[in-house]
Amino acid sequence: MEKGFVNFDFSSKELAFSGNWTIWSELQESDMIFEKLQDNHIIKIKLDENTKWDSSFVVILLDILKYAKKNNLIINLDCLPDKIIKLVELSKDDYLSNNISNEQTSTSIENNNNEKSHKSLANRLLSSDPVKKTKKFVEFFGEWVFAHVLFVKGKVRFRSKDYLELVCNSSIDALPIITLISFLSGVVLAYVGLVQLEAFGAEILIANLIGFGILRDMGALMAAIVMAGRTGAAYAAQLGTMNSNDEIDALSSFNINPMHFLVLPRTLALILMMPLLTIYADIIGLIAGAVIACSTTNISVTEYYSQTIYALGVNDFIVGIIKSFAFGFVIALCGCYYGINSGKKAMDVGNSATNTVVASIVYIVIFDAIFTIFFSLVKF
Amino acid sequence: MMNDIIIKVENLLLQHDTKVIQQNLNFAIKQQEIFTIMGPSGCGKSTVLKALTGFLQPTKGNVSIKDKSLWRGDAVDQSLKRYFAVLFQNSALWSYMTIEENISLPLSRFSKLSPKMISKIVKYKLSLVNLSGYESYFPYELSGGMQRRAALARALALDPEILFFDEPHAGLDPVTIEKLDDLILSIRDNLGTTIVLVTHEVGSIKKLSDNILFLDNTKKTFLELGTLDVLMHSKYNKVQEFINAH
Repeated sequence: MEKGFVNFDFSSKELAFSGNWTIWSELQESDMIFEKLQDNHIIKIKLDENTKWDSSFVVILLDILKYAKKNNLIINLDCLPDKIIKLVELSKDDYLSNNISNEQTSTSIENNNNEKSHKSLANRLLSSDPVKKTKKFVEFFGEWVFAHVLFVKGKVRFRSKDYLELVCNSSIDALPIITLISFLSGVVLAYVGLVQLEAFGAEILIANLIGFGILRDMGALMAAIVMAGRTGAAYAAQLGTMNSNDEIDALSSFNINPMHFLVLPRTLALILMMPLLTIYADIIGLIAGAVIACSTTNISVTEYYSQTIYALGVNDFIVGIIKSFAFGFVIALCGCYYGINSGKKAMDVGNSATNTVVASIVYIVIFDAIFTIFFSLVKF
Repeated sequence: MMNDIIIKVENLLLQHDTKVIQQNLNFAIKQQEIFTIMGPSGCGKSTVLKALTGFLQPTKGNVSIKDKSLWRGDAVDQSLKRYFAVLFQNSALWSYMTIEENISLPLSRFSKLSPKMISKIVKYKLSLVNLSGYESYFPYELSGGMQRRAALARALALDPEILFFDEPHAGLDPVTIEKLDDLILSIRDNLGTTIVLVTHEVGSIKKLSDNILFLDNTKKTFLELGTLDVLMHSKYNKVQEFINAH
C-alpha cells in the first residue's frame, strides 16, 4: 500500500504533498502536519503531479484550514488543482463552523460517539422511567374502566360487524391451536403422573390428578398462554400499525374515541371468549388424559370416568373459569395498551407485540399464583 | 368572499420535550380562504398543523377556532372538532374498512340519517372526488392519488367548515397534483370551506394560496406572512429563493 508523503520546505514555506492520499492508503494524522506549520504565517500548499487523492485529502486540507483559522495563519491553495479547490470551497464554511463548535464539546469523533451512545442509553433509561410508565398505564386503565361503565350504561357504540369479527378471531379461529396444546398438556400430565402413581400401585388416582390439574389450572393457563401469543400480539400489532398510519389520529379528528371504538370491542371479545375457550381446553385435556391413562394401564374407561366424577367438584370447574376471566382481561389490556401506545417507527409495532406477549405471560403467571394461593387458603 | 376570522393563533410556542420547534407565531385565517403554511423541510409545518388541530398542546400561546379556545386546560374542546376535518399526509384511511365504510362511519356516528341516506351521501362525496364506483374497494386496492381523494371524501363527510391538509401533494405525480389542486379550489369555491394547507409544492402554493405563512427552521418562527406577491418581494432571500425555486 503506497503511503502519502508531506514535506515542508522552510525556505519557500511550501507544504508539498505527494504519494497516495486516498482512503485506501496509510494517511498521516492532521496533527503531525500541524507540527510542521508552527511559527510560519504564510504557507503555500502544493500537490505533486502524480499524487493520488480523494475526499480524504480534502478533509486533511479542511483540517489545515481549521488549524490556520485558529492560529491566525494564512494558507494559500492557489497551486492546487481546480477540482480540489472547488471541493474545499463547497464544504469549507459548514465544515469549519461545525468542527469548531464540536471541538468545544468533544475532543474526537470517538469521544463524540461514546457520548452519543451514553446519551442514547440515558434516554432509554429515562424513557423507561417507572413513574412515568405507571402514570401512563393508570391513565389508560382509568379511561378503560370508564369506557366500560359508559358501555354498560348504553352510552358507547361500536360497530357490531367489528365486534363479531373480533369474537370469531378470539374463539373459533383459535380452536385448532387450543386443541393441540390442551391435548398435549393432558398427555404430559398423564405420563408424568403415572410414573409416580404406578410406584405406589395407585394408578386409579391419575383421574384425580388430571382432573384437578386440568380444571383448576392447566386448562385456563395453557389457553391463556396460547391467546397471549396469538390474539394479544395481534391486538398490539393491529393497533400499533393503525397508530403508525395515523388511523387512530384520524378517528380522534372525527371525535371518535379510540378507547370506545377500538379497545372496548377487543377487550370485551377476549374477556367473554376466554372462559369458553377454557371450557373447551378442559374437555380436550381431560380426554387426552383419559386416552393415555386407559391405554397404558389396566384402568377401564368406565372406572376412569367414575373416579373423575367422584374426585371433582363444581368448585374445581369454577376456579378455572374465574382464572380465565382474569387471564382474558390481562391479555386484552396488555395488547391494547401496548398497541395504542406504540410509536410511529416500523420497529415500534414489533416491540409492542413483543412487550404484549412478555407482559401478558408474566401477569398470567402472577395472577395464577395469586388465585391458586387464595383458593387454597379459603379452601375452595 | 367573507373576511371573518375563523382561526386565530396568538403567541404560539411549540416544543417537542425541551426542543423549540416554532415560537412567537401570530396569525389569523379568514373564512373561505386558502391559507398555506410553507417552509423548508424540518421547519415544523406539520407540527404547527398538529397544534391547530388539537393533536399537540402548545407550550405557550393560544389557538382559537370561531372565537373559542381550542384547548381547555390540558384537554381539547371536543365541541370544536365538528367544525374541522383533517386530511393526513398518508391518507390514514381505516385500512380494515371499505371506502364506503370509511366515509359513512362519521355520518353514522354523528347524524341521525337512515343507512339509505348515508349511502347516498357517500356516493355523492365520492363523486365530488371522482371516485364513483369505488365504494366497495379497500384502501390498499387504490393508488396513492386515489387514496388521497378517498381520504378527502371522508374528510368532507360531515361538511366541515375548515379542512386541514397535511402535505396533500407528497408522492403524487404532476397530473394528479394538478387534479388535486383543482379539487381543492372547487371545494373552497363550491362548498365555502376554509382550507389550511401544509405543503412545499411551490406550483400548488402559487395556484391556490390566498395567504401564506413562511416558517423558518433557523429562527424557529415565521419569516413572512401575506399574499404570494408579498412573499415574492420579501426582504428575506430565503423566502424569495423558495418561492422562485420552481
